[in-house]
Amino acid sequence: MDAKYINPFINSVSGVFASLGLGEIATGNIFRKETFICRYNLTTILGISGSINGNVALSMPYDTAKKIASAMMMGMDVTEIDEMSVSALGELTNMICGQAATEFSLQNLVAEITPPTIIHGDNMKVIISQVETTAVELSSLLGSIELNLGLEI
Amino acid sequence: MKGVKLMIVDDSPAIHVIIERAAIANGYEVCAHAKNGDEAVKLYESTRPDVITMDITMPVKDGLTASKEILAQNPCAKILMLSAMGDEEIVKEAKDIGITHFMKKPFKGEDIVNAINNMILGETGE
Ligand SMILES: [Mg+2]
Repeated sequence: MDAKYINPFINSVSGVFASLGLGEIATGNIFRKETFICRYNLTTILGISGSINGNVALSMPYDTAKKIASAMMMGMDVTEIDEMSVSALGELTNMICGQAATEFSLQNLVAEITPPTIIHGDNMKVIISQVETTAVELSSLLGSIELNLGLEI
Repeated sequence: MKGVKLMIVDDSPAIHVIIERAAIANGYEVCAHAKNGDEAVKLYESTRPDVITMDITMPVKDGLTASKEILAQNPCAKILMLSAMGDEEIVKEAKDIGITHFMKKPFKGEDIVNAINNMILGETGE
């Protein structure tokens, strides 16, 4: 996938983390997946349509998800993934993809986003679509996050 | 700033927590929580908050419609509208109906508190 489609998402994760006071993001490996599959405990999925079509997912271990939700909610105790933490992680995903959509609009690309869906469980393996997917390993102070872009361009 | 009565309007429970925690840490009183515009209009009448944080996209009744109804009850109501990416058109309409304070998501709790302090002090800001 062309970097011009990947970079807005990486930038928006960093930008949103900074705005929320969640610390810096370091970009690790970028690799291809034959299908859109996520294996961490918790995955937030959001659809994109317009000039860019497909799905974006943030996949992370429970530990990361709880720490992010807690940090977003001003240090509130998050011991399990409940309605409140799902709401926080949904907002986070919305903000990240909204920010990316704004970057795309500066390149005259339309990207409309759907509300996010969040699924979680032990031994998760979520197959989201058959579209070839670009995965980006991101590390933050709160743990690792895998950004997945399954986009038809 | 002590004693400010705040109503939080948002369909996302996490946003209520973020704003409430920051508000309480600053000595505000959160007098009402509404999860859609319909609840907001009703709770505005019964609790008369000093300031309202108003989400835009919500089920049942959106934030722009609710703001219009609240401003019809009290043209001096202080509304801080929380906008997301893609809300630019709605923000324009909100300005047309007299809303002067906006906060773009993503925000931290302290950003909201600073904005509210400015509203109370009568400064204009976005
Ligand atoms: Mg909303």
